[in-house]
Amino acid sequence: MEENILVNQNLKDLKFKYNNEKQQVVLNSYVSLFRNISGYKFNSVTDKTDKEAILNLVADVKSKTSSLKGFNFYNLRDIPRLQRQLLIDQKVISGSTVQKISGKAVIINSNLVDKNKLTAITVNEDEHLKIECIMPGRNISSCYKEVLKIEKDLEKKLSFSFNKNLGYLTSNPSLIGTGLKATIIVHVPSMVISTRIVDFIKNLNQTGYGVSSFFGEGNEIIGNLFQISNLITLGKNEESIIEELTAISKNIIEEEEEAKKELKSTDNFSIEDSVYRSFGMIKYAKLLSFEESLELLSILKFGIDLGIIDEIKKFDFYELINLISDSNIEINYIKNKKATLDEIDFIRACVIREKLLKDYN
Amino acid sequence: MICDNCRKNEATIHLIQLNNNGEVKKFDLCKECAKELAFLSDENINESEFNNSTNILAIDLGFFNENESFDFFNNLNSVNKENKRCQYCNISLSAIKKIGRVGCPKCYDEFKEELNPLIKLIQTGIEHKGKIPINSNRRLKIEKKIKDLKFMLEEQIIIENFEEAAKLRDKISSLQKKLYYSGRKLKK
Repeated sequence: MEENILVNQNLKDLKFKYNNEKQQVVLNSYVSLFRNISGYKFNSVTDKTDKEAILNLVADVKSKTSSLKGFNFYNLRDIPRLQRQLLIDQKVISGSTVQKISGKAVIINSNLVDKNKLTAITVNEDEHLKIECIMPGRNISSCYKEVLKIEKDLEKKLSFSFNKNLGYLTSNPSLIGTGLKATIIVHVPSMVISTRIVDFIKNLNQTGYGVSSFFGEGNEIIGNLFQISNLITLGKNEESIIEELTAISKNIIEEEEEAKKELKSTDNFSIEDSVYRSFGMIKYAKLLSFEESLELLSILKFGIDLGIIDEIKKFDFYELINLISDSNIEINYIKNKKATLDEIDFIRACVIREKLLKDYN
Repeated sequence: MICDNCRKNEATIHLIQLNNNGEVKKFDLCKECAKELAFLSDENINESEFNNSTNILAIDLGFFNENESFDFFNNLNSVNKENKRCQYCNISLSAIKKIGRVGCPKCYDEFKEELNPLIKLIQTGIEHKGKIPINSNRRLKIEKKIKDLKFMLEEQIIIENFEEAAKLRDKISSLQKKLYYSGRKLKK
């Protein structure tokens, strides 16, 4: 029973509702506040005893904070492997956290379905605390309000490392000042195909915003998915970071829309070809890796939006790519047995066929 | 903007890397240095091609990954100071350089001389403009308020709204008085 606590209560239902066509450009919004508790060294040098002390302190504060009543406190070492992986996939905890899980914890809200947002406090990652809120679509400022509220409640009982010149202090100098990291995940196939994305990224970099591939590592772009975050945390106030990223997210929706229009108005056999090739792949392939699926689904989503293909059902792109991650496949379809990679790829191909093919039974 | 590597030429190539841990590395380089550091091959150093190819994507999206050595902390000026340690948490400058993290809040004071140039490189200046903790002392709150008002004052002067500017100026001076008196009380 213990096995399933986290999945049942919190994360199995991590399916955000998307009801606006435009939201399929900006898929998710994330805002994190990084804070360290004053009186302790940073986690770059803390030992086990320090970490335990921080953990106990935060657990105590959590239990005494009424606004955190709906949240559950989990030591990371008590969360089974697959469910930890799910938290990594959802970017609640960082991938590197899992290598060393002792002394780390996550406090997570359990009202996800109603409120359509995920709020979590991770304890003892690179910084003592990361207060994070994730919402579907273009919701940066609502996310910020949420983390601010949580921070305010925590601040009543905790004091954070702060210096009047450098602001909130973090072990990582690229987070000092506001300690605020705001991110949007965007799906922009038209901008990639039309290469508009190149100039867009260049302009963003000049204004202190960084773009990286959402799933790929390094320079690999998978599924035309990108994440855009603020690079600067010191010398700007929180409101301007939030406002700027909100403006960027509006801008990128317009750019993608324009790129789409442009592609629509030109006859292009190679685009049509790649849409139908992708269709062939999902229809007949028996094994699909996660990365390959992202590519295929991105092109098919683009094909539907452009009116190139109508042989497949309309689908929710982000919901589907969440559903077919390795950890979700293992949890939802394989259950408590250790699956081989081929088994996962096979089930993934089936799930995609079920969701997309009109005549699937 | 001056090249981060040679500190002589105008930087025309701006590289920003954001890795999966949310760490940010930003470099401004001149063409020659970018070439020398092998971020660009001979053919894509050609400006027109550079602008119009996906190479820039490759570069912007983290051309240098974790394992590659071009870490901005390598710019940390630590000559003859490798063994300098923070007297609070005992971390050495060479360790900071190696892990890219400082050890405690005091490190920012202890290694001010070495860290501030780096911070300037990756951030906008070295002055916090954001919010302050709710439980900070009164003095800090007044100082923050003055800072914000001064910023607003500059804005009003730029748009030549002198009436509003005068009001702000008066507010600032009254807060400064408050600060002065609270300082005197503290001394007593």
